[in-house]
Amino acid sequence: MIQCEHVSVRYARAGANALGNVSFHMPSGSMGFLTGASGAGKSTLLKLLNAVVQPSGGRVTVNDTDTASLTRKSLPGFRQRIGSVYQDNTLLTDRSVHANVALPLDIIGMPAHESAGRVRAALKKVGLLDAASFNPSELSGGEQQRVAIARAVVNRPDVVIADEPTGNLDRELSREIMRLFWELNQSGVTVLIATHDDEMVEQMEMPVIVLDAGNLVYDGFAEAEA
Amino acid sequence: MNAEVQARAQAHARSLLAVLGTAQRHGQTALRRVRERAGLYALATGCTALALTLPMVLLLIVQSVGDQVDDWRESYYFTVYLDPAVDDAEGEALAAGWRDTGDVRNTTLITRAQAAADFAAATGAGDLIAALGENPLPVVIQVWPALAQSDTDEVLALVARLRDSDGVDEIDTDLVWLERANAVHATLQRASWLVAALLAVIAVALVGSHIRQQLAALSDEIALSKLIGATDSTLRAPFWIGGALIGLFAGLLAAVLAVVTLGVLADPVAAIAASYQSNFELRPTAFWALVPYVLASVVIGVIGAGVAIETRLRRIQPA
Repeated sequence: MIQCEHVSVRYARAGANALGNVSFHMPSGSMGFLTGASGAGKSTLLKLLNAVVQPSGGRVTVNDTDTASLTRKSLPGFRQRIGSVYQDNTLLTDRSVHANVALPLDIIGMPAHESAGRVRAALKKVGLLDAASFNPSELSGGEQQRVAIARAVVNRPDVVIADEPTGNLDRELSREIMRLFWELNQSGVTVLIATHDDEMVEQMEMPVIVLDAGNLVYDGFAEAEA
Repeated sequence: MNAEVQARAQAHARSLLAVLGTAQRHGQTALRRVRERAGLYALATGCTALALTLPMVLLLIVQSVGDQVDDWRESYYFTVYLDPAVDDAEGEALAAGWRDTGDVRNTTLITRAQAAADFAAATGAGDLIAALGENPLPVVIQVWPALAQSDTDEVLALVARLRDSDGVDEIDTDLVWLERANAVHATLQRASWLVAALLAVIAVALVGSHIRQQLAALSDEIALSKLIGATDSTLRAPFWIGGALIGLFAGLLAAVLAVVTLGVLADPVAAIAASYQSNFELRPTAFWALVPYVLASVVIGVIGAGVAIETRLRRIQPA
């Protein structure tokens, strides 16, 4: 579950609100898109969801946790329940695909013999089981993004957030990535994808949250509930 | 009750296994990073070892000097000349009384006859005493102060006390050389610790600088790890271990270099000492004697890593 209540974010240097009075509620197990032009506040909103940024006003609740209540000690556990995918996929090029996907499991201290099965399952899900021993730099952009998705889901998170995951990919690869997110959602995971690809959003027929200059201008989840 | 105790024991065992598992994981991460950047780690270890070798050599030399001064101190005695009226039996009683006190380790009585024989042997003038008809030499007691009395002031206090004893005529302390030896040892010791402290700071800076470079090189991985839920301890531990490893290997290397340096210097130093009629020598160092220095080096590595982690890790975003 993701809920924003009158959330605003003001960066001291920028002087203006990056987000202003944004409210929406995304039920558990739902999937939707976050759209808007560049600078509309999509990335800021996603940063709020994994507590990289704290709101200047209002309240952000993810998985029943108010992000303002997080302490230095409780923050890692909170983030472990959120899978994140980014446009530049942030894979580590000094280790194999398998090691990249295993990273969230290493972090929670899962023994290697236990994590190996989970990593294989995640790679199988994204169709890259055969590439486990490869270096990420040996893979195409679409394959790298699939590895990033495998890494985001290997720890079985409750929520997955993706920031422009298809930004660097062609139409065909973008569809493939979206299919993976859809399958993930079908298994009960809440998925929120930030994108400016309106065509893709139309094709997927999912609820959409539209931001414009930091303001919420359309809430597809509220519309769907109504 | 038994089941409860058993369950508690199992819970403790599980906790212990979890802690060991975590430590093993951190150790593996640290070793992987060492393997991946073996050249840089070797360079940092070598530089740190060189910085630690000089103070280690100095401290080992000071230790040798200290051992030598202790030997001298142990062999030090002063001579108490008794009144000519005191006979051998009274002298023996005095010596025995002093032996029973805590600040005297031993006493030796030299009877008048023995003193005359020693005089005759040393000077060849035994006939002179015989010609006098009566042995004019007093009874003498040689006094070895207790080993704990490392300070010449303590020896002088003992001398002052004995001088007040009935039957004591004169005491020859000959403390000048002992005072010099103590002063030289104290000066060397202080200078060595000063140099050791300065070079330890340099070693901390060297290890810290290396760990800072590691943190900078791994900033992407650290940022990503924070995003996916890495705890502070998960991020820090491999760097702590890396610093400790640099300290350990630098300490071991410095210990080897120090032993080799002392071995190279041993003969020339002994030759110089012999030319001053001294039996001083740089004593070979047992391995166990170097263990504290190696442990200190590990501590230096951990401190260096700690300084780097505290100053650098928090700057890597996200928080």
